[in-house]
Amino acid sequence: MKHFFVVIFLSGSLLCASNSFAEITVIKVQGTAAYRDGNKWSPLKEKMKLPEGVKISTGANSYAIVSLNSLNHTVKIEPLSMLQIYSQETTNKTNTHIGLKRGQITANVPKNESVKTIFKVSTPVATSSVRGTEERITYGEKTGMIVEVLRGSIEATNRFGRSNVISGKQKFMQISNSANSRNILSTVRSISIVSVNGHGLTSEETATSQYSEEDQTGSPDGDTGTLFENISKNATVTINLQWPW
Amino acid sequence: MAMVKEKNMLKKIILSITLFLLPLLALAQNTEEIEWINKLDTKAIATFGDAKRLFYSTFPDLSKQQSNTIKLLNQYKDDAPLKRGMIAAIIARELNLKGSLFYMLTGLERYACRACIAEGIMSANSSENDLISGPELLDIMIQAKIAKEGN
Repeated sequence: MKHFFVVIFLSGSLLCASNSFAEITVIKVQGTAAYRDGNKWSPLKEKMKLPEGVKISTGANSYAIVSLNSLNHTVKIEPLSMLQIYSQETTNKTNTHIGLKRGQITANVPKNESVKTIFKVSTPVATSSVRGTEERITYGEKTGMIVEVLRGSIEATNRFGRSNVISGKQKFMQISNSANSRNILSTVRSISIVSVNGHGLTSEETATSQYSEEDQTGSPDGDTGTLFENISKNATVTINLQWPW
Repeated sequence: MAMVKEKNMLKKIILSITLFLLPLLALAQNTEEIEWINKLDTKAIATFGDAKRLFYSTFPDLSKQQSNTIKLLNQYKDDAPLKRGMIAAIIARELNLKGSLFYMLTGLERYACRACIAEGIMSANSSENDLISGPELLDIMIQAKIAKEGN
């Protein structure tokens, strides 16, 4: 009988140890931020300890920084955001799950080789998993989920299980009504490539020419001469490619 | 004499109640904005008044400086259903968006909408006459704030 109680006590201790809740602490609050306390919202204050599964909401022009465990995993909750935090911690493992309903967060997860780290941020359309990374995640009803990596690398998976590992200036973008995320380099590509129409003008220049005189459609560095049609000429273009960043 | 004592006592009671209630009032004001935002998040159609309030609290300094923006913020009634063009015009004007030249020239909200789409503030598959829901309005304002701060 004595042995039975010892076994029960040990297994209970083990279970508690494997699922011990991490300490969620408010580091900084700027402006208006609140957490769900029963049926009402209560103001968030610095050094406040928050319970597991806490819902946090920030006001316009406000932010809050929250520490998620003893390993200094932090999340900055940007204006107009709402999220829910689950964080568990043992001596050799941390398990953090953030549900982002709307807004933007910046998660900072310092790398620690001796501790197995699970850090996930979920939105209604996708989930990002990080390890040793700083990332910025935005979610909105129409814009969908956007994950930017500030440091390290992350894996983002949409609801259909299609995943992308991203780093550097790559971005993961997933909208709600699409089975695939956008090209991870689409934002870089859109600023690198300019489409040129007839007369060697960009779309913006063509549109401007509709409201201005013909001789005002030259280059911005002072060449305002009229452009001649059907003249072909060789040109040298110097391109400096840097890969990876 | 007894009357004076009673009056003083009453004053003290009122003062202590006020002092006790003041922090509670402050806390209520603090969470009132959060409760309003979360209520807006459930609205099927936002109003122009909602957009105005959210805009003022998101850009408190800028909107005071630009008289043109203030003019736009008073263009419609507060209870008017919010259309994409209405909020696009305010954002394009306030943030002085790169692609808003045609909006500045013509004053047509469709160009303001295009400028917002080009900046990633609004989604591409929409027109200026579309009605906006509460969550969508919050989404637009979050993106506008990001565009303004250059994140």
